[in-house]
Amino acid sequence: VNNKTVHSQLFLVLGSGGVGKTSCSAALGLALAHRGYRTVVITIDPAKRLAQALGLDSLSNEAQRVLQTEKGHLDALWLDSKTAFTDLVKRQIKNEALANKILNNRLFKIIQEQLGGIEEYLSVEKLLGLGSSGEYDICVLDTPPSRHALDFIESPKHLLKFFDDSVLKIFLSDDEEKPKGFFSKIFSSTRTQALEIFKRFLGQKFMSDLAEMLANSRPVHDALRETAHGVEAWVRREDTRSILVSLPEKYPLEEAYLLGKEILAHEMHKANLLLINRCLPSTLPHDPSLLMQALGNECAQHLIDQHKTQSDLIQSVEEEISSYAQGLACLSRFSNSKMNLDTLTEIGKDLLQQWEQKEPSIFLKN
Amino acid sequence: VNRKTQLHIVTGKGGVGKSTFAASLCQALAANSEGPILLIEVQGSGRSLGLLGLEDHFRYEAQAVPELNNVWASRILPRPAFREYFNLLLAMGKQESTFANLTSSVRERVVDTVLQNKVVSAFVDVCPGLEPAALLGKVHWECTEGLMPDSSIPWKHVVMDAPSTGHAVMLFKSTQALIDVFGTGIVFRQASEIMSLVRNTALTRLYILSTPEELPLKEAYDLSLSLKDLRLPEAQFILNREKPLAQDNPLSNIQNLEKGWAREVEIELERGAEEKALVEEFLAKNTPPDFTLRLPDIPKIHNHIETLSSLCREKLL
Repeated sequence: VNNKTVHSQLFLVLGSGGVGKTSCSAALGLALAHRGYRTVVITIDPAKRLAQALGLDSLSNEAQRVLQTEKGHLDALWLDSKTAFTDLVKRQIKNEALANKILNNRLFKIIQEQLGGIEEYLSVEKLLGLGSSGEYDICVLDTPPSRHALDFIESPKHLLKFFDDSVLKIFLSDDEEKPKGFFSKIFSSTRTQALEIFKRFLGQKFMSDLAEMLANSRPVHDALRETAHGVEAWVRREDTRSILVSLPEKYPLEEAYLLGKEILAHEMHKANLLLINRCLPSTLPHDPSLLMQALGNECAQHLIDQHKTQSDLIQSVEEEISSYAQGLACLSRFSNSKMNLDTLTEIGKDLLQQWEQKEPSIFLKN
Repeated sequence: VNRKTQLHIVTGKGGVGKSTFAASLCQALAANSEGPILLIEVQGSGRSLGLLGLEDHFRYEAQAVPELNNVWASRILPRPAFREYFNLLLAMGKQESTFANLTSSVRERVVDTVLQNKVVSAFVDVCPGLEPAALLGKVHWECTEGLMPDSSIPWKHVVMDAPSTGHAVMLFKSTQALIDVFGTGIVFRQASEIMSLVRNTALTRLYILSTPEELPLKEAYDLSLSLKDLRLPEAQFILNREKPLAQDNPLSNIQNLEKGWAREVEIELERGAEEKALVEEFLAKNTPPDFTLRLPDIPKIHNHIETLSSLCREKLL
C-alpha cells in the first residue's frame, strides 16, 4: 500500500479517553452517508450500547453495513484487538513451524506485552486496506485509546524498531570494523567495551533469544515498514481532516490543546475542528427555580455549577483556539435511552453544519 | 533493614480521575502520617504534580510539595529511570561483575559511557522489557532504599500514579516476563524483587478507580482480573465522580423550561437509574462486593482536592 493507491479521504477523530470519540465518529459517519458519501468508520472495542444502536451485534474484522442511503452508505469496522499481533505474524510468515517459532520465542512474548502499539497497528493496517480498496469516498478513523492519541501513526514504526535489523544486528554481531588510524583505534575499543559491558549485563540466554527472533522475522518487518510509510503519507495529505473531541471540562480541554499542538509537531495540518461534546445549553434557564423544582436542589445546583465551569472554559478556549485548531463546535448531551440511529444522525448533521460554517470546503469530492 | 514503606498503586481507565485521586490520597496520608510521603507519577502528564501545586511539574527529581509538610513528588520517565536502573544493576551484580567494587562516581562514569554508545542507546530504545523494568525498578527502589532528600528518613508511603488500564498491566506483565526469560542473573533477581514487592499484601495496596459509566466499569473489572492473574493484592475499587441524584418531581412544570433545559432534566432523571443498574451489575460480579470508597463529582470551581482528601482520610485510612 502506498500513497498513490489510497483513494479515500481520511477523517481522523482524536481525543483522550472517555470523551465520546466513538459516538462522535459514528454520528459523523451517519451524516456523511446521508450526504451521499460512501463512508466507513473504523473503531476498536466500542461500547456495547453504541454497537447495538448501530445494529451491530458482534465485533468483526470485516466491514459491516450500517446504513444504505440513496447515493452513499455507512459501513462500520469494529475491531477486536485481542488477536491482532498473532494474526499479523501468521499472515506474514506462511511457514507454520517458523511462525510458531517466533510466537513461542520468549522475547516475542515480552514484545507482545510491552507494545501498546498492537491495537493501534491493527486499526492502521485495516485503515490502509480500506482506503486503497476503492470502495469508499471517506474513511473515518476513531483513533484507538492510548497514552498518546497520535500513537496510531507511530505504532508501525515502534513495532518496526523491534524487528529492525540495522540496530539489532550491529548489536548482535561480534565483528567490528577494522580500525585504521590511531584515534579510530581508541574510539573503536571504547565502543567495543561499552557493547561488551552491556551484553554481559543482558546475558547469553537473552542474546541468543534475540538472535533467533530476528533471524525469522524478516517478512513481519517488511509488512510493518509498508504500513508505517503508508499511514505517514496519508495523515499528512492535503485533504486529510482531523477533529479533536473534548468535553466542557478542564482536563479534557487541556488534553485537546496538547493534542492539537502535537499534531502540528508531527507536521500534519492544523486540526480542523475542536468538538466539545456533551455541552449544557449555552445560557442558563430564564427561571432557574424551575430546574430546582424538577430535579431537587442538589442536582439542579450541580448542573448550574457545571454550567458556570463550562462557560468559563469555553470563553478561554475561544481566546486561544486559533493556535491549535481552525474552528470550534459544541454538541449537546443526549440521554442514553435515545442512543439510536436517528439521534446519532441528528447529532452528526448538527456537527457537519457547525463545521461547514467555519470551513466551507471540507470534502475532497462533492 | 526493617523498613515498612507502604506502596499505593492507583490505576483505572483513562479520564476517570486517577491523578486527582492520587494527589488527594497524598494529602490525606500527609495529614495522618508521621513520615514523609512520595508521589510518583509513572509516565504521566505531570497532572498530579500540578494538582499539588508544583509549578515545575515535569521534573524527574523529587520536589517538596509547597504548603504540604512531608510530601514530595516526582515524575518518572523511561530514559533517566533506565540510567538509574542500569547503575543499580551494575552495583548489585556482586558475583557477576567487577563493577560492584567500583566507587559510585567511577561507576556512574561507566554507566554514562556505556549508555552514550550509539548502538547501546539505540538498543535500549528497542529492547523488549527493559523500559517497564526500569520504571517499576525506580518505584521499587524508592520503596526499599529511597530516602527523603537531605535526610536519612525512609519514605513512609509511596503513592504510584500508574498509567491507565492496558499500560499498567503491561508494566507488571513485562516485568514478570523478564523473570521468565532470564531465569538467573541480576536482571532476573531485580525483576523478581519488584514483583514480590507489588505482590506483598502487607506492603502494597492496589486501588482501581472508575466512574459510574459503562466502559470505565468494564475496564475496572477486566483490569482487576488481569492484575489478579499476576497475583497482585486484591483491588480496592473506588467509585469516582458520583453526581447528585435527581429527585423526580412529577408536579414540576418542565414545559416552562427552555427546550434545551427540558432535555437536560430528562437526561438527569434517567441517569440515576442507569448508573445504579451499571454499578449493581459491576458489584454483582466482583469480590470484594463493594466499593472501598465513593467520591462525589465536584465542579472545578470548588476546591476539589481539599474535599476529596478529607473524604479519603475519613473513609480510607
